Parts: sequence; C-alpha cells; structure tokens
Amino acid sequence: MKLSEHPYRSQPEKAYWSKAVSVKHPLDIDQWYEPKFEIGRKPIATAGSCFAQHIGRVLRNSGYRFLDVEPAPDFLPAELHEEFGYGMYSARYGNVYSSRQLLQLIKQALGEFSPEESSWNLGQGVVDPFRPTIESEPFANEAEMRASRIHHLNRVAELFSRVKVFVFTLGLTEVWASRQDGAVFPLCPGTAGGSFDGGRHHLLNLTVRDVVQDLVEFIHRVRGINRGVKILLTVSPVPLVATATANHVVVATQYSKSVLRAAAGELCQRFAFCDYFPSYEIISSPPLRGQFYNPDMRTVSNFGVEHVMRQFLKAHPALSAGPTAKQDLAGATIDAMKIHCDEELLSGFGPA
Amino acid sequence: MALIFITGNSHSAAMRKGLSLLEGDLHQLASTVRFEIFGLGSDFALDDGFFREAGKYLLLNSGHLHEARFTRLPPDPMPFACGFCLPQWHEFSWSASWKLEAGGSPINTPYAEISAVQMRKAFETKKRHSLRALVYLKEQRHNIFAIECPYPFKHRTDSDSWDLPTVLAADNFCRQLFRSICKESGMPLVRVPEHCLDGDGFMKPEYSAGKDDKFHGNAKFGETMLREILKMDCVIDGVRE
Repeated sequence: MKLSEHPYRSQPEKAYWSKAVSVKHPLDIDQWYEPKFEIGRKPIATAGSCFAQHIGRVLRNSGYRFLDVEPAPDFLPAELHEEFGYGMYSARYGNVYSSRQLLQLIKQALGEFSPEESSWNLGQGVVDPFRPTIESEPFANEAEMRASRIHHLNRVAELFSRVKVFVFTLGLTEVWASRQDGAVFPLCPGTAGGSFDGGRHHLLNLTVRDVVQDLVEFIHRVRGINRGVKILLTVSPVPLVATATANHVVVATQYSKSVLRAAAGELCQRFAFCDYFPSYEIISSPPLRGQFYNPDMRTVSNFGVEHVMRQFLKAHPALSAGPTAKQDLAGATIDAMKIHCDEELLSGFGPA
Repeated sequence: MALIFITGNSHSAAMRKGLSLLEGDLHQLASTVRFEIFGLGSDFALDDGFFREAGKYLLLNSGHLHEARFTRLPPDPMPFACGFCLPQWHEFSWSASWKLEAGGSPINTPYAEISAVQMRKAFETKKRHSLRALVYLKEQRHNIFAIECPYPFKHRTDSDSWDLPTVLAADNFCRQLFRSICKESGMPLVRVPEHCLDGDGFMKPEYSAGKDDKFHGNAKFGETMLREILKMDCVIDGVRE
C-alpha cells in the first residue's frame, strides 16, 4: 500500500528529533538557525537583558558595523568603561530587561513620554530610575542626572534612526511599574535607589499579549523613523535571580521564558523583517542537558557563551579580515564573566 | 645645609629655569638651602607604572628615567624635603571640559554629558601611579610635598573651540580634586599664588613658556613657585637650621 504524500515527507533532517538530536552528540547538533535576512555591512545595534552583552561583544569583534552612539569619552580609562555603562550596548541604556522597558525607552527618546517619577535618591546623590546602575556611584545632584539623561535619550533617538538591524534580547516578564503613569523600572524601587511604596509601585507580570503589543508598538515607532530597520529577537537563557510572584523561582522562570519565547515566535510569524535567533534553546533545551550552566544552574558558562555565539557566526559569518571568528569567541569567553547584570542585586535581598 | 629636591613631570622644567632668577636671594640663604631639580618625564610616562616600592624608597623602572639622574626616590644623598610636580591634569581637564558644556555647542557630540563621578574616577585611575608615589613616600615618613601645575593660559583656547569659562571650570574641577586628595593624605601642597592669575582666573601671560607652548610656565613662574616652596612649613624648618 502506497502512503500518500504529506508535508513531513519533504522535511529536512533537522525537522526530525531522531535524526537531528538523538543520534548526535549534543555539541554536534547544528542547523539551529536559518536567518531570514543577512546582516552584512548594515549598521547593527543591541539592547536587552544582560545576555545580550555577549552578542554585542561578538558582533563588535567580528567586523560588523556595530553602532555605539555613546562611546566612552577619550579621557576615561578603558578599565572604567563598563563601570559607567560604556560599551555594554549600543547606547548607555544599561540592561533593558522587558518589552515594556524597550517601548518606554523609544517613547522617551522620541519625546512622547516623560515619567513622573524621574529620580531616585541614593545616599547623598541621585540615580536615574530608568538606568539606576549606569554609573558606579550616584550622580551628584538631580541637574547632573537630568543632563546625562537628556544627552542619553538624544543619542538613543539617533541610534534608532540609524540602525538597520536591531538585536533585542528579551529577558524578563516581571516588571515593576508606577501606578501613576505606568512608567516601568528595570529594578524594583528601593533596591538600587529610591524607596518602594506599595501605593505607588506595583508588579506587572507580562503576558504573551502584553509582550507582543509592546513590541508591535516599538516596531511601529522605530520603523516610523527608520523604515528599513530589521529586528532580530533572542530570549535570554538566564533564569530569574528572584521572583516577586508567589511562585517558585523555577516555575516563575519557566513562565517568563515561555511567554517571551511565544511572543518572539508570534512576531516573527507576523513580520518578515523580524527574526529570532535561538540562543535560549541552544543553551537551555533538554538535549544540551544543562551543560552550559555554571554550578549555580543559572549563569551561563564561558563555554556555553562560546558555543551559542559559534552558532550565530555560522549563520552570520564574521566579516573582519583580521581576527577570526574563533579568536572573537575567545575574546567573548574571556569577557563572559564580566557582563554587567544589575538584576543580580536582587540576590542579596532574600531571607537570611 | 638643607637640600630641597624637586622632581616630577614636565612642569619641573619651569622650576629649574626659575632657579637662576632666584639665585640672588638664594645666595643669602646659601649656607642653609640648596635646590636640586630634575624632571622625571611627561605625564604620559608617569601615568604608567614608573616605579616599584622598595622599603623606604621608590625604585624607578628603567624606561622611566627620561632625564632623571637618579634611580631611586628620594635620591642619595637624602634631601631635607622632596617636592613633586604631579600630576599634570590639563590634558585631562581639557577633554573633560565636555562635561561642562551643558547646553553648549558640543551637546550633539557623544561626549556632552559626563558626570562628576566619572571625571573623578578617571582622574584617580589615570593618575594612580603618581598619586601612589606621593602617598607611599609620605607613608615612609619622608618630607614630601606636592607642587601644583599652572592654571590654564588663555592663549591655549586660541586653537580650540572651548569657551573660557568651560576651560576654567574643568581645570578647577580637577584642581580641587587634587587638592582634596592631598588634604586627605596629609600632603603639603604648593599652590599657584593668586597674583599669578588675571581677573578671569587664567594664568597671566607673563608666566607662559611662549605662544607655542600652551601648557607650561616659564622661568618667572618657576621662580614664583620656588619662592612659595621656601615659605612651606615643611621646608622652612630646614631653611632655618
């Protein structure tokens, strides 16, 4: 009896678990990703949760036209750059953990939104609630912080008008927000400045619909000023440091990552200019057996970063004539432990 | 006779030139005080690790002996007091002046807004070797003092786009920072006297090393600073001996 034709017959090997996974060493699993578009020499920029710093570093070292619209001033020694948020991303926005934060960033940069809670006291100085750890010490006063923010947002506006490939790494769904005007903060008020007030602040745990809507609104704005920009989404494989929900942190993590992954998938189905790079799956999916996590089973090892970025460079080969991709990855490995992850602050607040 | 030894960055050259102008007065003090002045090199050299700590002394690393005629600090014979022209901050403050351009023309450059914390940390980091040298010798109970560099000269702004208040404010920021570092470590500091400044707070042109030199003082400046040194408590005891 001859079976009829059906869609599975024409599927490639990678579509079959038995051929793509079961018979392969985990490190030999390949074809993780087929890009929808080339990056080539297009200006590229990154933002997102702390894992995005690895992507930015590799892009920067691989000959891509990596945009950095807020480079460190020439008098600042290189060893201080990270301490002041330089070189982490394409501008000094620090970690942008959520879709809501990204949407807020572009709204602020375009002058559409000015949050009411616009400074946090810390010690004798003030911090910017929307990038509270961007400086290693508080600003001397509010005027200085505001001047820095105005400059920063001007640079962000320029970034969004110039970038042609914007890489955004989705990190969290748990977001602290103002009850007054919906402003969202990358860190809970009180953890890195300011003070928490249940009457003014509340926790949002974004849904798939929320994330999709945030990103659609972001895309609408960024393509409004920069028609040709393409979006490359990733989901951070790094679990939550802590949850503010009633759930176990692992359950909360799974919710968060599932929402983010689903939202990224929906957006990529909807928009031809939107693509997804599976760093989340390459690190955290079952065939990899958790081998890329450090013993805390949260942070990603240098080896893991190297592996995931190797997959990226297979799809988007390094453009530099000088350093090879291998060397670039070695650079990423050396620096892997240096990424700036202010979410880590939360780990110090648990019960004794 | 009290030997006052002066070394440090390129500004020590003005001291050496000023010595000749001071000779008449020194003649009267000849039996009690003598100056020896040798530079160590530019700040570019001193921003690097130019010494290693060795007991009561600093041993100068080879490659940092620019015009130094000694290999350790304090040198032999042991001076009564050592003055250091350290650090030179003009180049730094020049760059840092972007910070003070709030609302000014370079607002659209990537450098427009730099926090005071960034400036302080940049200064402390860049100058950590020279500042450490001072502090270490102080800790070893040597009679050490620091010597300020000239304030900015107005003609320095001729070829640059920065406005005068910006330049002065940036210089002032770094100068106050260095003064507070000296104060915190109990380091006597020879300040540039007020009479060297014009009404705007810049160095008077008569103290300039010349139109082509935007940074350094001349012999007259050196003489002025040597006279200030002779008034220092930590020096005057030696002069009186």
